[in-house]
Amino acid sequence: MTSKARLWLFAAMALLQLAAPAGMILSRERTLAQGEAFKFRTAPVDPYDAFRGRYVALQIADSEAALAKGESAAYGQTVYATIETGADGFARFGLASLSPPKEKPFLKVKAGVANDKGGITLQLPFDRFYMEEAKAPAAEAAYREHNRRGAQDAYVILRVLDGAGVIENLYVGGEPIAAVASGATP
Amino acid sequence: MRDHKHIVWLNEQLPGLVSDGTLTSEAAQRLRQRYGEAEGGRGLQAATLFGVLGAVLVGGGIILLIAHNWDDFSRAWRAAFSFAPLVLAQALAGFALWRWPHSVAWREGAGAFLTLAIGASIALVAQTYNISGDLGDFLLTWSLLALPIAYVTRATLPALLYLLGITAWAGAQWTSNAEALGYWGLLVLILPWWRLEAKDNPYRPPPIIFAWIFALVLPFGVTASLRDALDVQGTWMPLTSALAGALFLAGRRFWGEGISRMQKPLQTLGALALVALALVFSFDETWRAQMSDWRNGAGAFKDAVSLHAFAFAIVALWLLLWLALWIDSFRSRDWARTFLGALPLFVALGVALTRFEHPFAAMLLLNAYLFALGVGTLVAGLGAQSLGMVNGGMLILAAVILSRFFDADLGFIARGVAFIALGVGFLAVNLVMMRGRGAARP
Repeated sequence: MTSKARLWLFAAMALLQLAAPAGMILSRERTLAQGEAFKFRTAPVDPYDAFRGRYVALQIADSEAALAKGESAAYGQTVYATIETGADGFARFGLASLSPPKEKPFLKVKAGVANDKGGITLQLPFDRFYMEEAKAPAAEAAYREHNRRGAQDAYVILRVLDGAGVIENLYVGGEPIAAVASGATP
Repeated sequence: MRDHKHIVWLNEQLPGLVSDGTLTSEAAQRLRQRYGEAEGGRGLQAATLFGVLGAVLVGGGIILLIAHNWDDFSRAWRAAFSFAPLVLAQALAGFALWRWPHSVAWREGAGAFLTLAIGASIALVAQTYNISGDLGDFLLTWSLLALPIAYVTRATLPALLYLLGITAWAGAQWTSNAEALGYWGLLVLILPWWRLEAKDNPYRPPPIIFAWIFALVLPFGVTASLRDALDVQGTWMPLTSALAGALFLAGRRFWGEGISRMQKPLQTLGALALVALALVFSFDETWRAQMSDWRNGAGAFKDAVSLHAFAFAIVALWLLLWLALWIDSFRSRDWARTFLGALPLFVALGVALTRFEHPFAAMLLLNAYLFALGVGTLVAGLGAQSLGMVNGGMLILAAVILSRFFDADLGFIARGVAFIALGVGFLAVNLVMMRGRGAARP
């Protein structure tokens, strides 16, 4: 390989490497800017495993969907789950099907196992919310406090566009978790 | 890791050997090319090593800085920061390629830094947008983006990262065996790099280090990607022995003239794996455990093969690769190599015997093989006055004998006597050989 050809190859490679994070950023920014906002209640997580490193481990409380008529989904299969907002203002999943629904907002996710109501659980790709190193322990404590059974007022705002979802923020007791965490640190 | 001392010695000897007619000047020139000039060798290697080390430290530091999670920065700033280490590393690598295209130290250092910068960049994006923590997907993205660096800068670290990354990815695909099979397609992408690096001189550090890592992680890749095939009627038995045999034979074929153990990665790990596998196959229990599975008959095997055709095609490919290397070894009349590499043949015979309900005969066959291997290595070692080979042969023999003692229900006295006899044997042979060596020295 001549050194000139090598330099051209290098330039092509560099562009490809820049395109990867750029693509990741652009698609998420588009979802955050144009996506519809949904409030999902979060579920209590096992306190011993709740926090690994510098993020708060999350779990969406209602992660089950009914199956479209006559359809079944194997574990790990891609499904499209519609999102519906209830009277209480919180979002839940409606119907999971093998093809993307028209006119209704939906998430493209992997199917989990079948539940006892004839539907399936969904493997949701929202399992962590990153925090700054020093603030994370306080944030974790606040998140746990607001996720005890009976006192669940923690939720995430998810922006959804074309089947992709991005977490916009995590709220506990009606306030963004970052504010709660910095208020709690002495 | 060629020993610098030896090369200096060789370079000192060559002129004398040419002048007294032992070597032609062409042969001396070829030897110089083969082992490389000694001048600057050590300094250059140190520069490369420190270049890579520095790059890894700086790159690792950047990743740690990112891990702090700077909450005070807005998303726009964080997005900009995602590109900063990457652009910096690209600029450095591009400049190095343009300015010093032939400097190994620069290529390796810049390649290593760029590899880590890619990891830092995509990790920061994942943090900013709370992207779910699938380590397998992250490693695959990183590995695939690092792969071209290996080819364009001809650096070693991106190739090693790629090998480890795709293996870890295959391991993470435990819910989907079909996806894990993609490991083989990914593995093929890095092999031309290995070939390029080994073409002129297979004993240079890059292809040697790659070979070590390759042989060490291959078993994990095989286990992760061929789960569907391994357990079907004992497919793992011929497959594992063919893998170990192919590695060993390929090592002897392509790295046969290595000076030190470091320079013989494939044959060292392959030989160890062959002996260990032969020991496993020398237990009666190993063969008996297959009996119930085999009673399902040939129909069940055919069904499994047609259901997992691709996995079995990979198995067949490894068997063919081993066979080709073994025939090559047979033709070159290197009998020691051919015999150790013949384990898959004996395993195949054992499988056939077990199918006809003779697992005991299969066990006997493998014991005879191991025993012959031990005696053969011992005798060859004595002939070559090689203490390492003698001890290797004795270790194999001791392992067979001791394993059989645990099989058979023998009392403590019999076992104790056997241990003592083997121990005395080891000591005696080593003592005699050391004396012989001492006497041979002036």
